[in-house]
Amino acid sequence: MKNKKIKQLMPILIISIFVAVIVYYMNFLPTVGSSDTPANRLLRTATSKILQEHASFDEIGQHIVTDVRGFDTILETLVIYITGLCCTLILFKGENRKRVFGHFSVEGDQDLKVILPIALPIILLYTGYSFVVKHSNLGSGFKTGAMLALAYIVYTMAKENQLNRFPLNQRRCLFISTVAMMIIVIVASMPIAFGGDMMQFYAIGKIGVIAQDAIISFLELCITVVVAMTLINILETVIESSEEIYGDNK
Amino acid sequence: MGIINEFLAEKGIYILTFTLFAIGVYGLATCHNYIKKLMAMNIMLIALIFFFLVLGQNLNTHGSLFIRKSAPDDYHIEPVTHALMLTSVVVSLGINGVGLALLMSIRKKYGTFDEEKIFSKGI
Repeated sequence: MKNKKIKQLMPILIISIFVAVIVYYMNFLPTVGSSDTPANRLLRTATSKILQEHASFDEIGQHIVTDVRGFDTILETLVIYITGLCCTLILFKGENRKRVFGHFSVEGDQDLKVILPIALPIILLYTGYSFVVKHSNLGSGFKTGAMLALAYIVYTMAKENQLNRFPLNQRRCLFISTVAMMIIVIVASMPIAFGGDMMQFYAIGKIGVIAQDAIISFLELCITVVVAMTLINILETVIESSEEIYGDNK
Repeated sequence: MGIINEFLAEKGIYILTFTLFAIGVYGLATCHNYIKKLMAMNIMLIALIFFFLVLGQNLNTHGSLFIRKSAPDDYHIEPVTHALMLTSVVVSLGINGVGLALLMSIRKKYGTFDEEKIFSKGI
């Protein structure tokens, strides 16, 4: 009886102490609606600048969600997709699972086998164009990597096709991204070692800057492709392991 | 009385936010029903989101509620904080989905959502 009372009172006591501490430190928080809050001090000029330079319409909320934090939105979409997949794996078993995941079977997607020989060269061509022409833009490597990852995803889903080998597999991408990262680290640390500005360090001038942009974009591309292919491998492993655990139990 | 009124006007919303958070913590710690625990977790998350959104308000301007291209420096609510909180809303959706799916599996196996009954049956 005594233990039960202590068990009931203990959470109330701990939470009361917690609330008291919070209320005390609340004195140090800025006033509600003041201009001193971190969001108002730091973000206001950046938001105004973005609106002036980039937005072509008044609705800045849409602009921020799709452009300024566009990659966050893409990853949120991925989170939702993985959540749905996890829920389906947990809830659907046996015959229902085969009905839902039939298109992940080893034989491959029949529709994609027809589309792939046409779509894949176009995707790769645009990927190459995007990388060569736009490598100096911010995030261009990630965009190019995303397109390349898309090509790999399409290829993975239509396995028994006429193409025998895809040039970039996961191991090669890891190797390339590691080498690229080492180059970036060496190049970035040279001014620290020898002193001076990065621009001055490149005696060959503009070519050095272009090379630096290209290397950074290539690193972004490799990272994006590796992340996408790792996610696909994780999904395939989850599906295979759930088949082993649940089997045909309904 | 005037001091209390002033304090509540300046920082009253924080008290409400922390109260909500404390309710969520209490529910998570004391409820034996797993569904109630999940709901308490949601309450905590909403309190945190609300706290972050409050920091993005600016009542010292006389402009419109949201930012407009015609008056970029004159608005009440910072849209970037709202956009950032969209991520946490999406994450909470994911947590709720997977959590409820797991709870359905637990219900199927043990026949109950009660924590003590599940432990008494043995995991």
